[in-house]
Amino acid sequence: MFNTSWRFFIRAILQHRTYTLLNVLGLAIGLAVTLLVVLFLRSELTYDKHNPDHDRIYRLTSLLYLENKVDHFAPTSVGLAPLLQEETDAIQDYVRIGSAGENILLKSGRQSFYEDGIFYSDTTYFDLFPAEFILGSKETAFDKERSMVLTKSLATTIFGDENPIGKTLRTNNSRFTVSAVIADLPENSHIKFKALLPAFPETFSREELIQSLWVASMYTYVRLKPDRDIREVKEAFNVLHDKYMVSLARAINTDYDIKPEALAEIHYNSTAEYDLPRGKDEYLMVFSGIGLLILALAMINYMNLATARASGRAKEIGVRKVLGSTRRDLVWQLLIESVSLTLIALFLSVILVEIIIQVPYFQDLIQKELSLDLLAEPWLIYFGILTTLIVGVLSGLYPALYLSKIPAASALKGSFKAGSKSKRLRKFLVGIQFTISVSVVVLALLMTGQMQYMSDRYLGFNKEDLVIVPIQDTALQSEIPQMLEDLREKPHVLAASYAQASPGGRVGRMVMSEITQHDEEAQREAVDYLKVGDGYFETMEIGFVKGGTFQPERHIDTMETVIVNERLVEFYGWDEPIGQRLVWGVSETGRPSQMAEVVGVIRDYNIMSLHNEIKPMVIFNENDGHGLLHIRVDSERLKTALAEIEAVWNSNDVDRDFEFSFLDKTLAELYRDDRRQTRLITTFTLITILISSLGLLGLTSYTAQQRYKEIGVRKVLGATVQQIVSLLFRDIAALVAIAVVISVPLSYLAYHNWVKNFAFLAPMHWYLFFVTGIFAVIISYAIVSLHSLKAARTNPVKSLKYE
Amino acid sequence: MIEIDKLSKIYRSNSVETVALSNVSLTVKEGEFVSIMGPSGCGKSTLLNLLGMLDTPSTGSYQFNGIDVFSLKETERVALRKVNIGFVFQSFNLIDELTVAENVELPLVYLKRPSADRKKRVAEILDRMGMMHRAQHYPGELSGGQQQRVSVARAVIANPKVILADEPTGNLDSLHGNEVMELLSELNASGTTIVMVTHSSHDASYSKRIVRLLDGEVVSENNLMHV
Repeated sequence: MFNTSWRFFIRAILQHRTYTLLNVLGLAIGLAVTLLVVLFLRSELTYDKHNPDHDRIYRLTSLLYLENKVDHFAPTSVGLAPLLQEETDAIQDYVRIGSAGENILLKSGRQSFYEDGIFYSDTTYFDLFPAEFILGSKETAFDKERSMVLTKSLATTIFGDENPIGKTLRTNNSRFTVSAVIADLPENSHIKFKALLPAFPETFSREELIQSLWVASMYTYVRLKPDRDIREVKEAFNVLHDKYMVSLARAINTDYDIKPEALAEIHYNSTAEYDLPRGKDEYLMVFSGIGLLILALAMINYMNLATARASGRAKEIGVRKVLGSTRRDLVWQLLIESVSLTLIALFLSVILVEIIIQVPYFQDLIQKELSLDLLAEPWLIYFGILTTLIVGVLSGLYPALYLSKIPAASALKGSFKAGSKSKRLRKFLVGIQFTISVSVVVLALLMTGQMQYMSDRYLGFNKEDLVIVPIQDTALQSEIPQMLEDLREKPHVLAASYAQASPGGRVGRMVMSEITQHDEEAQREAVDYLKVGDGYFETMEIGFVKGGTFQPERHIDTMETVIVNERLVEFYGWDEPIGQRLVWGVSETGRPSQMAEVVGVIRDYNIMSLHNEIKPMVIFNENDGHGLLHIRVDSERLKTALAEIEAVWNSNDVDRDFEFSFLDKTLAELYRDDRRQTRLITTFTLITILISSLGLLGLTSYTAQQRYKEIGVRKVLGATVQQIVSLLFRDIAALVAIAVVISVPLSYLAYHNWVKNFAFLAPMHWYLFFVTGIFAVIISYAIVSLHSLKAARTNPVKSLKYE
Repeated sequence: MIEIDKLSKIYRSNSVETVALSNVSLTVKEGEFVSIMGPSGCGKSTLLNLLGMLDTPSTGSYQFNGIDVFSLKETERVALRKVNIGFVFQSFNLIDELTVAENVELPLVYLKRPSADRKKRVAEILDRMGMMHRAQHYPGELSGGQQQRVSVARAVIANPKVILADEPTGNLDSLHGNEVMELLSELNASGTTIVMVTHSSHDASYSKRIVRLLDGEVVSENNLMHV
């Protein structure tokens, strides 16, 4: 009996090719997305778990208490770990790691490479974080003072196939010898470097270590001895704090504490700022949610199509029943069918996934390179089989129960028609698909709108045609005024100035207070500050509300003139800002050590990304330092202007290549994550529309078939093709309307949740819902037409004979 | 009213040619009641479909009230049919999801008559057919004879000049069959032209002329004298 079932099944598949194709394709897409989500989750949730000692390695992070606020940041001081070891024997060993910065110049012979991911650490690194050595060994990795460990991929980039061991790499101010090559760090390791240099903080004196405690500069990891508790380290810190930190803490009304984080928890659970790139749990939620929704959509398709096919199969079911098949036999047969179809879909989805994970667009979308290796990870096979069973049974159960219930007599007489109950259910299911589709389309449109708004929004300065040139070498800093003067003389440079940070970068934060009318110092508050050179406001095209620019002739050691923004004036509630005085610092007498007088007020502008409100800000005058040149150029002659800037750069004798960036591009980078999420949702939207369309296509093909006779009769009575298509479409139009109504709150909620990360919001365009609705109607009309046109064009003579 | 000349219909499928009609010529005058008879497969239904403008011939011509039917465009032909021809089928072909009244109303809907007119006309016709009490019922709730009456009501509602009936009593017992034939006779008496395909000589006896077909060709025509 089984044998015939199989033969029947295969023939049925081939005979109803369109039906099978729609079903399997929908399921395959659903399963592919599920698989991708599982791979993504596996990678995200196993961060650093490959480290054999991950349960006793902790990262120590900093808590800084300032006024009533707590800042949590990942770096700690150089002195923390060695001083803690003096207080407790629970720590087996520790390693401190730091980043050497971005765009580090590495020279090999005559070749130059600018690389990120150059880190330095204690020589104990490989004790705590074992690595696979391809060349060299853990023992020889840091045996020389200036040795350097490269990962395989960086070694290949620089040296190709040559053996790099013993080769020299130069940075701006030192030379390193390659001592070892290790395999690339696992994708799910939260520390990711391409090259590791040894740092030797042990050259610090004990006094220096104590002084360093307030300066967070490196990431500290400690490994506990087996069976020791991290609380012992916390207690040891309390002792250390009372010994070395408490007196200064009281004097400046601040406090410091540490917060240990278990290694495997860092990627997801840390909230520290100034950290290495970290996972976002909202990302995790979004991605899993998307996966489940798409799978649900595909399963709905299956149920829909299978029940819709019911009347087509009624005769088969009737004959089987008459010949002695029980209802249970039929349910089994139908379930096996759905599981088998799911299995075919699973094979397709594995192929799909293998392709998708190689696509750079996808890798960029999820910021990961996933791997699907069934042989290396047999659990994936079990997972696949389990999913197939669950999806197959879930999506096949309703159709199986429904079909097997068809009474044999009416089925054989040909009088069986799908009942109104099953029709209602199918409508309900398609309604759900529509609702999801319309919701995500609106969400994607709203998100795109916000992205557009951010790139169009006027930031309070002119971001176009601004070239930013970083000044990193100390030697060059003193040359800044001269360089700016040279630049201003160039014909295609319109204006040039200097600032400590460019928009989108990090402004400083300091505690200061105003001097009240009674010459008293008010409560100190933390405010943002920025140091800028002469001509900054002209270069940036930032307008003044009151007063004018700095008055350097009045500057003395303890007194200078400053400019503030409107928000600061509001913050202090000044009626007349010009002439107000601000103080900060502590002198030996306990009085403020520094004072500034406000000489100008500028219009508020967004120095930070639009995720942040504009905050009260004080702007100091500084014409040289570790900062950036801001150069406004003639947009018509960009190339010439850049050549002019490079010429000025090269006229200084610096061993660093000319580097620049365009401010508008850098600013766009600030929204990379947001743009990625928008793209993720947009991709999701496309898949949703695809699956829903497949479902709708299948559904109308069966509706049209079911109403074959009706269509014939109507045609004989004079209905036009147009009238018949509309007839078939009417039901679906109502569904779309309901879906639009339900999706309004859904997509609004989702959007609201996403957009709360931004301080500046695009106006809400309600007509988007309307437009999407119209669009949904048009698309579904097109899909309905595809089938009903065929039905409507068929010669009615045929359909009327068809009894 | 109806003039067909040398009408042929040949079906081709997989290199097999089937001649359904061969050089059939026939004239039906206004007010006539013609029966087309012949064994299964002789081409009766094909001829009726051609007369009903539901199908196109391989060769030959068809004049309906002086209009050359097969030179018209599809839409023009539909328009001509809507106004002039009503159909009655052996299997009734009522739409199961619509009530009796809605089924009968359909031709008027496609003729774009105003709703009030339609309702009035449906009531008139159903009353005449003795089906008023069933107006809100669905076809599934009616007997075969009642269904065919509804079907006739639908065929005549737009006052067509011609009614084409394809074995109208084929699915009915003799009692209900006679009822339907009486109905058709009445319609004919009041001026409607009727062309009917039938197997039954009893039914054919209601008509004024019988055309016999065999293997796609007209073999005889005889006028019946009614006493």
